[in-house]
Amino acid sequence: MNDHPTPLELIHIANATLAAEVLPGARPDQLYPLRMIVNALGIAARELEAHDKDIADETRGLNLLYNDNKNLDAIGVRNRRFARDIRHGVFESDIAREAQLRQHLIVVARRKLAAAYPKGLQSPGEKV
Amino acid sequence: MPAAQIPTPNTDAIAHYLREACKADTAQVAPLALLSGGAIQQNWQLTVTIVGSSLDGEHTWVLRTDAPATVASSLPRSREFDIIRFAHARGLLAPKPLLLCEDVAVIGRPFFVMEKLPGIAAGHKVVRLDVDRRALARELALAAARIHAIRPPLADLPFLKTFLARDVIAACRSYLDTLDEPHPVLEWGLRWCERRAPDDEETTFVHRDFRTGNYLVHEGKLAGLLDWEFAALGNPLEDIGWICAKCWCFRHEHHIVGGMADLDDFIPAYEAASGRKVPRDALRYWQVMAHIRWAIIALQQAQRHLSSVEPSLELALTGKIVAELEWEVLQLTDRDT
Repeated sequence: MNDHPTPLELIHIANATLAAEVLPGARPDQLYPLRMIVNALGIAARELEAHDKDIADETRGLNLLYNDNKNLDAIGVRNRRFARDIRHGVFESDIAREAQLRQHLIVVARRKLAAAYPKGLQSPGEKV
Repeated sequence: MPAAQIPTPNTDAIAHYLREACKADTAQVAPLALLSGGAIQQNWQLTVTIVGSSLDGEHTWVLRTDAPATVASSLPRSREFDIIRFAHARGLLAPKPLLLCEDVAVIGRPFFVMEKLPGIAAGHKVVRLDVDRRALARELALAAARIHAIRPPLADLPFLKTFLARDVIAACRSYLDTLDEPHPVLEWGLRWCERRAPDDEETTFVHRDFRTGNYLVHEGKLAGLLDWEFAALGNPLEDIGWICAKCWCFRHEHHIVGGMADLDDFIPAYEAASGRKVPRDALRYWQVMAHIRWAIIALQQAQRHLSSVEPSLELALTGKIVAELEWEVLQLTDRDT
């Protein structure tokens, strides 16, 4: 077992140092790559922080959809089957199941967006 | 895995090539500068002085070439050169193409040279311009209508593929099948599109990347259309949905037409110029498709990084844009499930 700081703690302090000590004095041509680095570290931290809960939520959603009680380990294989079933219209037999499917996808998409671009959850998408 | 440095084409080799190609006594090439844009290809500003040829004088041109890794749906440079020549001849605001070099011995990759049109293309700058947005939207509408007035068969471009709605869906699925990880939300979006695919579609010449970032604005006017590498035959409304997709608003989605204008500034002008109706349901359909197709391209961009051929933080982060695109697909489709 490794000592503290954990990977997540290291990412946080690395990102904070970059933002506080490097970005303000950076040359104009360095700003874009530095901002990308800050962004990448932020995404990595948020994904790591939420990972266990995300997998649990996703597993619970799939268990509901498939009326299963599987554990967290099979998530990759299950998602492959899930994607294939969506393509073949497996969930379109009744409105309730389709609504359940959509609700699961919203949960999955929301957690991905919360890590990749949290601001995206603050404003509803413009619609025509 | 260190980030790949973008290799600058060798100016001596280019000068030698230009001297031969222009039948000049001499051709001097200034150091090249990488231009903004070109998410898949590279555009280099090429300043050249030619002596002893019909092209005597100093010229500012653009050299366009492949990035180290590219994406499958992007046409080769020779085909794009043909398309630009076709589009320029038809008055579609494409830059004038000048020279095509397919000899990889020159700079290691095929390239072509075209005139450099004036103006700003970078999306994040264009959406902040202090210009008459309605007038620009009308110009964009007219430009799209002109492209879509061209119908097959196109004898000059026999290689063009046809992408109607079901073809786009099939192409997206085909790419998803090559990936290790599944993408349930994109599969759901594709299924949504499949169930609502139009039975009868018009087929015209389409740009397929008609958006902010790929047109030039000079002195408040539309000055050029760039990046023809995805051009094909297809449903003209695909181009309309593409430029009206939130993902091409550069965070200015209060102006849904490319971050520049409102639908009322653009759609009626397009309808008047093209004689074609754009029903709101059809527009939404192609907006959904736009987000899915951009998500597929974003995944392809991430693969360019993951393949180790072109290690790049920018490409890696492009893969993370997929989350936003998936979210928007679900937002756009939430009224009818």
